[in-house]
Amino acid sequence: MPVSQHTKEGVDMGLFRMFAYSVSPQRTVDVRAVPIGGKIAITSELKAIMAMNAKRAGFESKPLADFAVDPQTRTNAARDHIIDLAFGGQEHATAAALALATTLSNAMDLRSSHCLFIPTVESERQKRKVVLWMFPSDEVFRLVTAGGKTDISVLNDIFSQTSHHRKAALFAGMNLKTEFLSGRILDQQANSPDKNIADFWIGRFLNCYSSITSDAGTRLLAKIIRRTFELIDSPNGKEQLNASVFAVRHSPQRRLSLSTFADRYLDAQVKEIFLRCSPNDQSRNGVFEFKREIFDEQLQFRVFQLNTGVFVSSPISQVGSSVLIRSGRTRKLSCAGTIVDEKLRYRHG
Amino acid sequence: MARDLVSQYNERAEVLARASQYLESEVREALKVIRHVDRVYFRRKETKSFVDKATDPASDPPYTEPLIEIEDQIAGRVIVLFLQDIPEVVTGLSTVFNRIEHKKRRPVRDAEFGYQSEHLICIIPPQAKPDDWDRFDNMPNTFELQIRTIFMHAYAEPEHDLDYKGSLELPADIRRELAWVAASAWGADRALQRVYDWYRREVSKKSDPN
Repeated sequence: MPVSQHTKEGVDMGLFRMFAYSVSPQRTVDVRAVPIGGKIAITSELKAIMAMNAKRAGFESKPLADFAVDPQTRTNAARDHIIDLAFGGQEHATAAALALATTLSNAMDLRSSHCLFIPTVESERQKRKVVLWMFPSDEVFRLVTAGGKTDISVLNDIFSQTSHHRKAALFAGMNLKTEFLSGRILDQQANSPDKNIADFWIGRFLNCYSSITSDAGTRLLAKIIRRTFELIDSPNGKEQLNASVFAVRHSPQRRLSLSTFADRYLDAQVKEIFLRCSPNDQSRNGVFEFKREIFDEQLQFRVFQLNTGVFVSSPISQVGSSVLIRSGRTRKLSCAGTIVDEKLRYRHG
Repeated sequence: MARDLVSQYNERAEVLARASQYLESEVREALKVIRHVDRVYFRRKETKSFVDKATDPASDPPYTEPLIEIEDQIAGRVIVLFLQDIPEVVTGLSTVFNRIEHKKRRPVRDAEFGYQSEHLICIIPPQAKPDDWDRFDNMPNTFELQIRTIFMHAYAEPEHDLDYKGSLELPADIRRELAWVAASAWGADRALQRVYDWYRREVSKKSDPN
C-alpha cells in the first residue's frame, strides 16, 4: 500500500516568528506568576537548531490530534491563540504566545520541572506552520580547566533538546475556519498508564482529542487483525495473532496505536502483513484508548475447519479451556461440553 | 476559475467517493446498537453542485479556497423513526468522530413551519482517508452529517428540489402549501413519538405487571 510523503507538514517554510518563555508549573499554586520571556530575534544558527529539532521529532509519523472545538461557537482557546500567533499582527501574535505560555504553566503541576516553551511560526505564501515546543529543564555540569586548575560548576536554566520528556505540537494550514483543526503531536508520555501524565500535553494544554476515538480505534484494530488472519498461511502466524488478541485484552497498557500493537506483539513477517492491512500512515500511528468490550464485540469467535468437514465455532475465551488445540506435526482439536441446542442446516454458517 | 475548479475537483472526486464509503461504514458500525435507524447513506458532492456553491455570488464571505472550505464535499445522512432517536444518534456518532459544529436547523420564528434537521460538522478521521488522500493538495478536513426523522426528510427532500434549489419564485399560496406540509410533518413526528411512548409504557407494564 503506497504511503504518501506529500503532506502539508512536509513542506519547507521560512521561519519568521519565534518566542521563548521560561514556564513554571502553576496548576496547583494559589498565586500565579506570568511566564517570563518574549519575542526573540531569529538568527541563522537558531534556524538551523530548530530545523534539527523538527527533523529529530519526525512529525510526519507522529499521531494526529484534533482540537476539542465547542460545537456551538466553533471555538477552542488554544486553537484561537495558535491562529493569532500565525496570522495576527505583531501585537496579537505576542499576546497569543504569552497566552499559550500561561496556559501551559497552568496545565503543569508540581510533578513537572520548569521548562522552556518555544512557539515558532513558519510561513509560505498564505500557509503557516506553527510548532509549539516544550523543552524540560536539565541539570548539567560545566568542566572548567584554566591556568592549570580544574573545576566544575552546575548550570541552571539549561533545557534539554533531546530529553524523552520534551514535547511538541505542529499545526499547519491557511487562515480558514476549516484549517488548523488537527495537528501532529510529539509526546512520548502520551501512552503513560498514569492518565495525569498522559493527558498533560494533548488534553490539558492543547485541549485536543486523539484523532482516532477509542471506539473507532478499537474496531479498526479488530478489523485489521481479522484481515491479517485471513492473509496469513502459516499456523505459527495465526497462533501469534491469537496470542496477540489474548495479550491485548489483558494488557494494563490501554493506550496504543496499530504500530505499537504490531511492535509489541507481532514478529517481523506478521507485522508486515498487519501494517499493510491498515488504511494509511496516519491511522497506523494514531493513538487511541483500547476498549475491551468493543474489541470483544468485533472478535468474538474463532472458527476452525477440520479435515473431517466439521466446523467448530468457539468463543475466544473457551479456546484453551473447553476447546483444546494440541500442536505437533498437525494441529488437533478436541472439545467437550454438554449439548444445549442443535440445528439442521443446509450448509455451514 | 470555474473550469480550473471543475478539473481540480474531478481529479479528486474518486478519492472523496471512497472516503464517503469508508465514513458510511464507520457510521453504520457506530449506530449498529441503536434501534430505529431507518437509513444511513453518504455521497460525495456532484461536481456541478460543488462548482455552483464555490462560485455562488450570494456566499458571504465568498469562498477563497473552496476545495478546503466547502464542508459538504462529503456528506452523510442518518434517518431515524422517532424524535427521541436523534439525540441517541448524535451521541453514537460522537463515539467515532470529533465534531466541531452541531446546529439544530429549524425556522427562526416559533409560528413558522419549515425545514428541520440536525447538522453536524465533523473532522474526517485518519482511518476514513484512502491511502492516496495525501496525493492531493487542499483536501477537505471536515464532512457534514445530517440527522433527521422520516417525516423531517419527507418534507426536506421535495422542498429542496422545489424551493431551495428550484428555478421558480414560488407564489404565496404555493409557499403556504409547503408550510402546511412542514407543519404536518412536525405534527406527525410529535404524534408518532406519543404513540411510541404509549407503546413502550404498555410493553413495560406487560413485562413487569407489578
